[in-house]
Amino acid sequence: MALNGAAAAAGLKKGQLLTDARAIFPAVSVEDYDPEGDLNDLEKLARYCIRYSPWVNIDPPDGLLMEISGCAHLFGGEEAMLQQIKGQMAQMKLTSHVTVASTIGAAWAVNHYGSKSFNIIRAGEERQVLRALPLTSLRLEEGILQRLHKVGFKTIGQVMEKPRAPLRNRYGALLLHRLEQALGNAPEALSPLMPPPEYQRQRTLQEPILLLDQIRQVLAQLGRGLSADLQEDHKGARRLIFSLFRVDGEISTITLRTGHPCFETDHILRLFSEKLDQLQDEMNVGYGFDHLTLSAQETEVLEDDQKDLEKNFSTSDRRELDRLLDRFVGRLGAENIVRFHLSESHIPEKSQRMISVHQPTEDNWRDYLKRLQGGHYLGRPIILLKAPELITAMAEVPDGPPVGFEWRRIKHRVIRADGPERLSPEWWQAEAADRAQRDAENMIKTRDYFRVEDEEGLRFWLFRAGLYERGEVPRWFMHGLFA
Amino acid sequence: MMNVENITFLRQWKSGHQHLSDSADDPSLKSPLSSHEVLSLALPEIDRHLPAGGLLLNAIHEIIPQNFKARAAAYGFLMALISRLMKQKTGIVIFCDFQRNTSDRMIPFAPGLTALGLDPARLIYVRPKDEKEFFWVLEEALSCSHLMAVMGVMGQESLYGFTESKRLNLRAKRQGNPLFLLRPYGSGGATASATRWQVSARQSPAKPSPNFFLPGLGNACWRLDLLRAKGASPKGWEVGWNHETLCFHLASSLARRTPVVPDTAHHGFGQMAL
Repeated sequence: MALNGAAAAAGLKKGQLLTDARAIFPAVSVEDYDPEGDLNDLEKLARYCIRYSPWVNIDPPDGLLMEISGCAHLFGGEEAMLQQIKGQMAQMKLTSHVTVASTIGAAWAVNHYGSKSFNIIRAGEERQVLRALPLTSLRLEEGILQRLHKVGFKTIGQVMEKPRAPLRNRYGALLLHRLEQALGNAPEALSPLMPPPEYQRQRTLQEPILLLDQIRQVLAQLGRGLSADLQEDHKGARRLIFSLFRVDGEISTITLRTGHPCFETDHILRLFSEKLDQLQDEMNVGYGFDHLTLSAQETEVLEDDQKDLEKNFSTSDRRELDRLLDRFVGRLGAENIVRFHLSESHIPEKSQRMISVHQPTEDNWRDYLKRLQGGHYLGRPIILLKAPELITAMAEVPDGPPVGFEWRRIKHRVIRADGPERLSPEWWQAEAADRAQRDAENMIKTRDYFRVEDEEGLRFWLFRAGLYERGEVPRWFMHGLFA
Repeated sequence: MMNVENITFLRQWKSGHQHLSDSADDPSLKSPLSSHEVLSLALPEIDRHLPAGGLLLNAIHEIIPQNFKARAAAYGFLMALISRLMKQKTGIVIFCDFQRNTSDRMIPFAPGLTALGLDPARLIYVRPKDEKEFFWVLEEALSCSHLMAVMGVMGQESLYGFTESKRLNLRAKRQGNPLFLLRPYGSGGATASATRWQVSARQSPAKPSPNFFLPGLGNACWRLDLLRAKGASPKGWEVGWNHETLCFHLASSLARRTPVVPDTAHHGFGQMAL
């Protein structure tokens, strides 16, 4: 399917049977064809090439397409840039063909079917360059190509001068469309693999760096630059990405989100610094990093600093709390910094949810309690157990409170009781459970909750699942503890 | 909802408050620490005993349950203190929770916290993955100037000791943020905390119940033992917590009552079932 330079030199040909190849060169090393793995590797390579231009995408099975307008000057011009890319590929032990042209069609054609492995096509040269190339280089379907071959059309040059209408009639619109795209008369766009950043600062180093301190230094420099860029446009970023490109093709990326748009150098550096400390051990430095970028995404225009006269603190104070939360989120993960959120549900364990700290809540817990049973209602415990635990209890039939119970092998004698509070399951859940025939008994049976106190003054929240009058066998569970 | 208990309590509170305002006018009686903010427990017996007239709001206060069963009571006392603080000041409270994810884990239940008097909307709940992260969160939070308080719940401790507490205390003092720490049962040792409380459960006063032979539950009652405090001797009080007025009251008079035992032998209706 594919062979490297050494194999070609030894006389092997593409498409040969393995037995024949082995006959010619017995020591040939063979790998299984792995299209998925190849595609993954190609994608990885594309991501690596983001260091050259953020506008990269894969061109399966073995190519990359890159939009480099506006990037070439960073590398010293188009030719220098292509040399660098080819050199980088060679360093990664990849033979590559590179071509730059004004259109995707022309670049693709020349790259795949041209004779040289390094091509620069100036604007306006496409016509001349494409003339000698075969029609297959226009990325057409097999069927059309065969028909064209039958009639004798082999090169693009033969088709270019012919009148359009008959060609369109016989071979469809695609042929001409591709031709026009290659010549630059019809548009063809490249969508990038990853969205290009809104603001970015980067640094390529002559010598790859290995030490954390060196990385920090470069990061500080990039941070100052990025902060200046953002401030100039009066914007703040909510997502910051620090990418480190290794010399051998691997990338390490650190992404951070902030709750509010930020632009301060100190804050940015501090967030990354903490994350770097954390990742220090995991990051595989290899032979070092020679290209680092810091980019800002999701930028927003900043609000002006205002003083809140009522509450007597300014937005800059509130920003301090936001920055604190950003640092927490950066180090612990957003799922571990949460607020309590009210969730209207009869099932107690579902009446509260933890939501991300950055989402604003307008919950009025007092009103919720009032609605449950008027006034300051004590019927909810301060602590909930992870899951209701089965207990044995002795209670008056049919709906009296327990007079004694045993929980985790400790017997308790009840001296006070409040209740029952009947909480019915959500009827749609009950139906779903029936359908699924799950044994989630304590979830779907009606619960009668009791607040009880034992002789030591310990206060519990327990319930009986199942009602006698319905013929269910009731079971008792411990669900929470009161203060 | 005026009843006898509340009226007596109000009289007590008024007289206690009178005493404090009298002493406030006399400069010679002012303690040197009263210049900083304090959280009073609204209970003169305790407030008078504490050198600053309450809990200093730039220091560490530790709460330890007397035994494993009393952990809910200790949790409740912590939440009661925060509820009082919320009445006094505005701002967010960072609630840092480090407990192993076992069935013993005490999960805070917001409707229950509301019932106790707290406003869960003013809490930010942080769950660190290990003890090192837990103390990092506490340190960073204490250094932030725009918070009301920081509270930490420890399921177990191995890194907390004099050095760590000294570091936390320094930050608390610098920024003027209080730290309330709920430590696991059995912990102790020398730390830089301003006060250390031991909490155990007590029976609540009986409330007449319309339904059963068993009386209903009264307000939460605990025994608070001040194990150590700078400038005060150890002392114990039996207190009750009123979730409506957000105040403590002494429960000692009620503790002398005999507990009501369900009279199971005599009631004629219904039968017992397991």
